[in-house]
Amino acid sequence: MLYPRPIARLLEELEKLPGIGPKSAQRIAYHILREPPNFAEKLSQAVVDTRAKIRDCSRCFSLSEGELCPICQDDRRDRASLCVVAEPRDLMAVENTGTYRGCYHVLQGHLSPIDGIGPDDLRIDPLIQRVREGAISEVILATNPTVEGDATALYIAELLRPFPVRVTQLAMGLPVGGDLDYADQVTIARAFEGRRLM
Amino acid sequence: MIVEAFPAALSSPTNKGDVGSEASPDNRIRTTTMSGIVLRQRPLGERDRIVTLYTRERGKLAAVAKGARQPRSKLAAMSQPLTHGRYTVARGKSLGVLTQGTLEDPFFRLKQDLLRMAFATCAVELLDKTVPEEDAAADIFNLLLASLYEFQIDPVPELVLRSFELELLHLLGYLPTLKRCSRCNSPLADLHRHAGSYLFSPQFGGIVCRDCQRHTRCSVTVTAQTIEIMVALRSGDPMAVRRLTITPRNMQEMRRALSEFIQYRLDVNLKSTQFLDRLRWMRSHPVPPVE
Ligand SMILES: [Zn+2]
Ligand SMILES: [Zn+2]
Repeated sequence: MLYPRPIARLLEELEKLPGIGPKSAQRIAYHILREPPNFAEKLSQAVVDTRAKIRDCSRCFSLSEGELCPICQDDRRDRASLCVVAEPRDLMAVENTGTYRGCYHVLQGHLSPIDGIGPDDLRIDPLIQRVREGAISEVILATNPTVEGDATALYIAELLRPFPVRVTQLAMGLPVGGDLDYADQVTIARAFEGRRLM
Repeated sequence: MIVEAFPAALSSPTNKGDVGSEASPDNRIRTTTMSGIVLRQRPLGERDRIVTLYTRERGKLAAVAKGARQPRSKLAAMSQPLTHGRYTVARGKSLGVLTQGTLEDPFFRLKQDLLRMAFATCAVELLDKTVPEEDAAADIFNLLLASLYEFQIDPVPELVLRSFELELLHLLGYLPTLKRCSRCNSPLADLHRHAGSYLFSPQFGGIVCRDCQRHTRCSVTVTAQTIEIMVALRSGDPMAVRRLTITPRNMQEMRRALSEFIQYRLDVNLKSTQFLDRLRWMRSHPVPPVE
């Protein structure tokens, strides 16, 4: 079917979004057309505003509306503790637990030598700089439990070795609510490594 | 036992892997269980991964591991690079779908050591970039699997990589000439008694004798001892290598000679070597805590 040109253009743009195929793009386009016109205006304004106003926090490299993100501005956060994550959405996942009161550092990716993603493609230098400034006593590495995530954590841990900071990595354990005998051997091996005294 | 659900496949000359059928509405899904090693992975959509496997039965192939990025997925650990397992792949119209797997070896210790992992990644990338899709070669599979074990325990993982490169070049039909002149074919006798150095020419395909040196444009200088080490690596006898004294210079010459050879002959540029170089540099230049 041949769409009128504006719809065809909208579909083309929507299909560039992650996880949106031709079917979903069509559904979204029809939805936009069925809603009152101010819906489309509000949506497009929100897209434009987000793109224009959001940038990297100059300290932690998370998403921010101003120079510093709300967490970096918050005096009640523990400035001596840094939790290192790969992406802003990982920061949100830790934040949503409500248990961590320290600050963050967002690397904006993981190391992946086979894809040519090296240390200079990540925000590793500014992390070392933050540690060098001296107010930090613990760095918690919360990268993904994947080969790339582990490589990133190992690399950063090695860089931080000369510094007087405690470097820890999140415990890798068994998924809550699962049976032990269903877990794979890597998960069990890592849960053993991360066992604690009771 | 081999069961074919595809009538057309009955006429195929070779049946590779354990082929079974799975109930499906159109009865066109065929599953195969293979021994495989994950070469690389990349995310697909929000929850899935595309994994590139090197399998004993079908060579290199890519498959979608649905839900593999969710922590509870059974495919999460199976779809990690440098993992050996039994993989069941359902073959659809386009990309295969990884339906289940059982771990054989996750190479846990390899992944806890950054340098060893970096060497193993170079081997995996070289393999990924040089073998064609779905071209079964049990020799190549065995080489990769054996090398992963070696990368995990060998005191000199760099030699494991050099040995892997030479053996892979041999299996792909590109082995550099090491015992004769690669231009005029005259034998290079008594290398070990020779103190001098030779030129290694990617253009001619290996060592060139003194008379032929002037014909080669781009080349790497290698000492007779370095050539001897490469010959020993190819001999398949670990003791032959251990008997030799290997200096940093020998290591560097081999690294340069093989990397230029691979670039010239196979037109492959490896990305993983950048990280390896970076890691080496970092270890020789630790970051000072105070500037
Ligand atoms: Zn911030
Ligand atoms: Zn010659």
